[in-house]
Amino acid sequence: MTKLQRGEMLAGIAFISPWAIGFLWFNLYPVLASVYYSFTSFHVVETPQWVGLNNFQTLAGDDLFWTSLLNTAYYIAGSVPLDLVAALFFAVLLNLRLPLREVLRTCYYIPTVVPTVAAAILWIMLFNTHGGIINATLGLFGIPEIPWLSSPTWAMPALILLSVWGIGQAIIIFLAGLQDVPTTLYEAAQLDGAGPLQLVWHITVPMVSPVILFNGILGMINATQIFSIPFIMTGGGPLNATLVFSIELFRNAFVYYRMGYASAMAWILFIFIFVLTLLSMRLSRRYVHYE
Amino acid sequence: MQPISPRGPSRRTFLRLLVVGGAGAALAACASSPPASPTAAPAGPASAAAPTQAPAPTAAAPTQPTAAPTATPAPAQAAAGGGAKTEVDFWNPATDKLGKKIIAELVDEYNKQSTKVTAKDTIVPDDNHYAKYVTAIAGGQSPGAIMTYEYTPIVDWASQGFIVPLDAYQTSMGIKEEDYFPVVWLMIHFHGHLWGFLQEFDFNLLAWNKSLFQKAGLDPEKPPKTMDELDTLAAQLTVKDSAGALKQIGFCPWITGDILMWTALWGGSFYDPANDKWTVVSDANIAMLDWHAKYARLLGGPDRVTSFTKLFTGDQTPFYAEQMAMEAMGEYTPITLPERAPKLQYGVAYPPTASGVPYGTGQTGGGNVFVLPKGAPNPDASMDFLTWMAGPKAVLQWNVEENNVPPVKAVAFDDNFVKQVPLMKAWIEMLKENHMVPPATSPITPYFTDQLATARDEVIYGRKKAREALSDLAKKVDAQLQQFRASHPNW
Repeated sequence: MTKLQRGEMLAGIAFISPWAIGFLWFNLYPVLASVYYSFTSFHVVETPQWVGLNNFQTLAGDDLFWTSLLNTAYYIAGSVPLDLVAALFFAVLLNLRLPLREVLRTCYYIPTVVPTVAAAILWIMLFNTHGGIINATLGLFGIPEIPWLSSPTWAMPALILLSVWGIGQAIIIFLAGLQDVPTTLYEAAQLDGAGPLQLVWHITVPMVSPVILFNGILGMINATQIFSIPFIMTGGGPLNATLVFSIELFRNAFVYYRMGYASAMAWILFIFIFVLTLLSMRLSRRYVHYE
Repeated sequence: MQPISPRGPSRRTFLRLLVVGGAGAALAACASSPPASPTAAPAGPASAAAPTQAPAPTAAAPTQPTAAPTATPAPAQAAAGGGAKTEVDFWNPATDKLGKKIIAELVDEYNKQSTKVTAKDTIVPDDNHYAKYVTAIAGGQSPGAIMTYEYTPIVDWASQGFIVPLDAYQTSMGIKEEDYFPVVWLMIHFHGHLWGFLQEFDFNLLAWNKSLFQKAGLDPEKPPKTMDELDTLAAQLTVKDSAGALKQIGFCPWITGDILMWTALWGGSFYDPANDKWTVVSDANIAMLDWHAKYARLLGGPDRVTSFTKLFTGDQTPFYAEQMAMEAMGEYTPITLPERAPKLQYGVAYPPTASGVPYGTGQTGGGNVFVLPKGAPNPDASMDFLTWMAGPKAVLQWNVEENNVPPVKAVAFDDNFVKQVPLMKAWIEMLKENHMVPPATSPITPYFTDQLATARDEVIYGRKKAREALSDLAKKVDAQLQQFRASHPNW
């Protein structure tokens, strides 16, 4: 290594070191520490006591743990496919040469930058059974009032529908993917007599399938960690119908101060996400097309 | 545009970009400083916004009661020769306008009088169950002294070792059990130790809307005294539209007051403080939950009630909007009503009770507490400051301006105090009945409270009968208690 290269390397390390130190101290250390804490009884200011697998055994018999896990799975199963379809649909539309296309793209992205608390309060009003815009609109088609947030049956579907509010990020990623689809493919298919739906199904979807996979995994990870919206809108209710994993983890950590137990929950969440991601990757071999 | 070299930008270009980028990031950081926290809204009962039409007493400086139990403690005086003052960082959640003003005044006054200690007024929001407070204590960065706007965390903090007992200071501070209301003493003195000082404590009366009573053809001066009367009036005052949607609620126990309060009014109790024992399943507790189920049927189910209550946001409630005829009202509320509900014609009375339960029974839900955190840098200086804050003068100022109930009998019952807070007359009267029930001083209370709410929901949604819901709750409480005791054998 020449003197110049060594100097450049040292400069590079110096520039990256604030981030690296921050990552090691504020990310990696807590993550590794939580592995240890998950095998302890740890109540914040006391010395952690080693309890082996006790936390995991207790979790196995904890009704609320299972309820929160199932609720989270329900939310993932509903929101991820819905968001993917909606994001791809709007991305395809916004990729067309429409007038005011840039303005429309901005409009679809705006909800993503709205603060979560403001969005949650806004949606509480929209979902209101009496006088909420959603029920008022459904009423025009003769659909009776739905108790969105006040019924254990409807509360989770309401949150799933609300997830579409935040698809702006996925639309942007899909738009980037759509730019890469060669126009020659569409031209060739059109010459063969393909209609618009056939073009989307046989060309667009296969060509952006890696982006669908990426957005799917990203959406799944985000959905697994959903916290703010149900925390503000329903507090996990009614009847624990929206008690998602992160809320239950938060309660154990910061309301009951059971940090060891909460750490065990966090690692189960990690394994849950890891397994889902692996499954997605495995399935993707069959459905995802790479050029 | 300048072409980009295939080798990438030169070092000079890179450094230039870095400087520009850094400046940009700094600007962005300034611009994107977090907005006022949404949770900065009043979190505790005593944190009501300052009313614009506050009654006269708030304008004048509080007058000392004629029978204060102990003299106002004198702040620490410097030894001869003086020396640097010790700073006590005082964390409090007074994000509300009135609370913030009073705390700042009290701290200023202490600082003027004390020559050895300086208190620093640090407002730390109590978001997410005082997470910042707990994190600081856990991280070894404890403040000198802490004030909470709620009682809920205190037992939990004591059992987890976040705060330290104050027994050593009890004599020097002149703290005597007989000066306090018995219910208050149980709140600050448990598990054999003194853990803090209450500045005030809260409990509810029943408020009723006289206009709605009149409109329904009822006597506007006759509130219910028994549970049966309450139920009859609630049915008469409930209005639904043709589709069954609620237009007006007479009364609903789970949207006002506190489930523990209703339990006490039914003669029930979930916790026996004398024996440190949970008593979840009892006839009175079952009757209380059955009574909730009765209201679920009357109002067309909890779905309809929630849909109704969600129409009211911010400071508005169904009662203030005159769409609910009766509610449980804390003593901190009347002073805020000239601003929040200027046209409301209401009265307050003792809450109704079930057969066999004395009229005048109440349940305190909490209050503002001063505690000494574990790891406080200078405990003696902290206690000097807390002695002042918990002393008669500071407590009186707070309670007069905030319209709260003082924890000390002589202050609360002093005619001079009552004259300064006329809106609180009924609350002070109820204290004289001496039927006040304390909150559960068990370390698993936060868990129990969450699970009790779930049990209640199971009953009002018709998923379980009251006895079944409470039996299941009792099992959960036992399991939680076992876990806690395994990790805290000395508690």
